[in-house]
Amino acid sequence: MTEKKKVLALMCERSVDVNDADLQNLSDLGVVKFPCSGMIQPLMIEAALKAGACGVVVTGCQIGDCFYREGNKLLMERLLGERPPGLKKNVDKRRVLGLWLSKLQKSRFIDDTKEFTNFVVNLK
Amino acid sequence: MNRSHFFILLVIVGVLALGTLLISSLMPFAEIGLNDSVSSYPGWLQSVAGFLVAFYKPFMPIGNDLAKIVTAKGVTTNIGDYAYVVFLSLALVIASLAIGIVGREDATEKTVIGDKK
Amino acid sequence: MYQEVLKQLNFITLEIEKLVNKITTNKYNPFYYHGALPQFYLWVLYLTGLLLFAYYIPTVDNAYLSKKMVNAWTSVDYITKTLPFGAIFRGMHRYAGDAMVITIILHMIRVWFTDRYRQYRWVQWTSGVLLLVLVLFIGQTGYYLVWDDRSLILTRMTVSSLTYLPVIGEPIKHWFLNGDLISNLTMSNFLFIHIGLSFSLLSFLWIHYVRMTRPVLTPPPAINYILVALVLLVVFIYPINSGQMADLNHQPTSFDIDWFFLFPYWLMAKVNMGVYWLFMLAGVVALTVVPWFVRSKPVEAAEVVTNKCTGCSLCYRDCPWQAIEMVPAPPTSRFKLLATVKPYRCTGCGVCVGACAFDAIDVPDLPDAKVLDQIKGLVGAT
Repeated sequence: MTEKKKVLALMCERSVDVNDADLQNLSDLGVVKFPCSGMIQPLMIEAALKAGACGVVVTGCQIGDCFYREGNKLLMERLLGERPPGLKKNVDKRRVLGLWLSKLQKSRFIDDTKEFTNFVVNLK
Repeated sequence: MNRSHFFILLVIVGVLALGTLLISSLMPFAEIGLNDSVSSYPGWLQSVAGFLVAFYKPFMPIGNDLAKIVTAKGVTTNIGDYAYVVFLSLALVIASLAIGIVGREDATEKTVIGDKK
Repeated sequence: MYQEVLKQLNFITLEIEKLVNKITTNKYNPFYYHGALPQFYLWVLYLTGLLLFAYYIPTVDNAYLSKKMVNAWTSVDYITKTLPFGAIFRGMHRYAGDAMVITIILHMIRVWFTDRYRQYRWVQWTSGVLLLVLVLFIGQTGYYLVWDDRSLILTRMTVSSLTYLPVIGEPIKHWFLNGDLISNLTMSNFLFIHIGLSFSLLSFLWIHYVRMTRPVLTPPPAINYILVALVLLVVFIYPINSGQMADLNHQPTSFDIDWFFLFPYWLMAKVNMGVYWLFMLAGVVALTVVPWFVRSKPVEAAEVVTNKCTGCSLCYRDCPWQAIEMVPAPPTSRFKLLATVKPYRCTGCGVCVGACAFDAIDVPDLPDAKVLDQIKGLVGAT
């Protein structure tokens, strides 16, 4: 493995589709892809933060447009603590960002991720 | 959202709400057949008839235009009902715009949960 | 090739939705409620239909008209000309029907273009085709009920198309006309078919929804208002007038066509009856088998790790496909319940993995342990 990434993106493979060229641009970003954002579990976010990530970006499709019906909505509710299981209390919630974008909104994803990276890297 | 944005939004929604009210107030006017003859008003409205006539007077030409459109298509009776429908649908459209403007605040493409802390 | 085209169409759909999102935001994007739109129009049809039903008289009798006898045509005429707002409700009933067909087709096209129609969704697709056929047929029966010239010619065309069918044609015709000839009994049968089948839609809709948890049944009010307003504006722009009262001794030859419901009659007039039936049947069969045009990789269903499951039923509540069932746990277990996956319903989406706080359910394609390894590999301390 090469250098460790500072920010981890847990991404739905049907929402924004980042390729290797984009990742060159976002050198601080590591990507794990899921069939649906609903598969992303708060425990995974906690594991990433515990393992040393500065922040975690979670992406799903536009709210209302999940291929598997409601994965993105369920995840959003879990992140907001409206649906069990949620994030544990001791997790620094500022280090988690949810983005709900369609496949065509790649530039929005890159912009927001860069901004978020700058924010979390300087966070103490 | 800062104060001035909120104020602008409030004004827009207020105007839309007033528009809905105004247009839906034309519905009874259509219901009695698009005219200002006091005799066709139901009894309980007779007492305020003078006010209503003054209120509906400016809308008479609109009513006549709407009536002309449907009579050209072969409608002979209950022409006021068709004008009623136009007023109702306009009111619905404006109301839905107003609801949409207020409700779009909830739409989200981004969830930042740190804010709560 | 076929899949390439569909992929492009998916992108076009996404482009359009992105554009609409800019105006309406995702909360009010009608494309995100595509299935709920026809459902909403169904309620509109039930309500307006209820009012029409209250005043409709299902008879064809016109022998005693001079004695102010009423029949279907005169009752519809009364609704249109005399009843306050009768014409409006009649128009709404008619155009909400058209709107329902449009929204159903929109719904169908969207699920097709976005690849949401095959594999585990085959029940929804095939029941949807059945519903579409039913809706079209119910719409046609609505045109018989008015009992003007057009109703008569449509009834006669239907009868001749039915008599063409060997063996089953004659009994179906007998059922359709409620006898051998057009009579008062025919009209009450038409009314029964129209209303009875409309309510049977609900039971087919149950099949349509049964595999989905929390189906989206109602668009938000802002969209509903627009949907009603659209129908009302069409009622104003194209007011409805009945044709002449049907006369059984007279054979009308042409009629105005409603392309949403009456296109089969257009075809029937153009080609020979055999071709017509072949075309209609082939059309329905082709639509039904669309999900199997593409060979799809079988889904690897999620698996419950039996000794970790605590029976908390979070996955059961969250599964969007009703694919998880809570069963009594085996006596050796400390817990009362155990989650089990119905593999034929599972889509492999992994929502249950996200719902489980105990790592007790796994999707074989991407197990939990593998995800955690990837995460640690990417960000872990060296």
